[in-house]
Amino acid sequence: MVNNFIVSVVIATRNRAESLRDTLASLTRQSRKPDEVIVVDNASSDHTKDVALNFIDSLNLKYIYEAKRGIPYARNTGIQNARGDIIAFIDDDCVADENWLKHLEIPFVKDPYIGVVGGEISYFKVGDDMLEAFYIQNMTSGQRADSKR
Amino acid sequence: MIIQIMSNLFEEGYLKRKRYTLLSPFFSNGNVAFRREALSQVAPYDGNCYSGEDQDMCFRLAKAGWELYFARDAAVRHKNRATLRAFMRQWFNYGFHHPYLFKKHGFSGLRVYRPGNRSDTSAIYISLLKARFPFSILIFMTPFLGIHILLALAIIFAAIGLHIPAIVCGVATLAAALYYFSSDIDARNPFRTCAFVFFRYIVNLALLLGGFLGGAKRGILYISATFDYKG
Repeated sequence: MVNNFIVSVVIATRNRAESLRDTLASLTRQSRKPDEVIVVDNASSDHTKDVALNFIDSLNLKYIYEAKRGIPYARNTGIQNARGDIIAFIDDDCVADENWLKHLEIPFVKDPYIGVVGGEISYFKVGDDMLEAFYIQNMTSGQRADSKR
Repeated sequence: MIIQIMSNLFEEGYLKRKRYTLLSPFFSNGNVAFRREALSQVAPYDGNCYSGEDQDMCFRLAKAGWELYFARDAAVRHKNRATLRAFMRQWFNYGFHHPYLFKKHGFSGLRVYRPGNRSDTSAIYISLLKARFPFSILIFMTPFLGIHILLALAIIFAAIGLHIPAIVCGVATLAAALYYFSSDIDARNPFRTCAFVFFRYIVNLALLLGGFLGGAKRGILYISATFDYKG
């Protein structure tokens, strides 16, 4: 597909340095590489900054500190600092599939009336307790057709 | 603007073009992308949103005429770290903060919704009643609410000595509960059944209570939809 979109990925984060590392690592593996990544550090007190700075070269990453707490403020700061035609958001506790950004971008190319594209959020199984099993069964936002009830 | 709790997205495609009858279609902003042109029309995010800033943003974009598109293959995986307490607090907060958005986007009058056809996953709630009314009232007639109404009736009938209606309502309460918790019931695994029924009940209770209290704060009688797809 031929297009000239600049795609920015914005991550608002607070005190989840280790989780953020996984998120950023998943961005380095994208089939469609982000043109830039903006990490908005929403007043973290942990080593979030060190983790982000590790990816400066591999992800063309911009680290921004936002002292005013709150997701809306952090997201706005991210938008202000992003230069992309498409601005994608991923949470600091999520890991992107390899083709994540590619599939988010395609609809924008196909239809100029599309303003927002959302994707599926599913859940990692990390333990084997009942609550997690319940959570995974009930909280997946976009379920696969084969797992539809 | 009214939020129907879950996005309930199954199929690739447009949200606005009647593929989904969500009251206010939205994406969780944990995995979303915006066209800059669209975003700059409606930005910034509302700083007053403690939660629901994503729903607010999607609603404003849809109102401005932009299409919302669900790309199923643009997948992320979330690392679940829920404790029961966190899970309940999360849903309590969703309920509690929704009425701010309803008021912000001009909700007034009386609205009642009923669950749609269960086999049609794109139509979860259908308008049952929409009227002008001096007070703001928003009610989702969910099976979860039904269980409690039937139970209350059974108790009232029993208290005033009407035994037959009390028994009828009691049986109906059980039937409604069996229907509502059917996906949690696994005869071969009673422990799991009990745990799942307990989780579903207590998290919905947190959501309902959050919605009710948040509604009271904003002057809306708000009986929220439940967090699951079944109404």
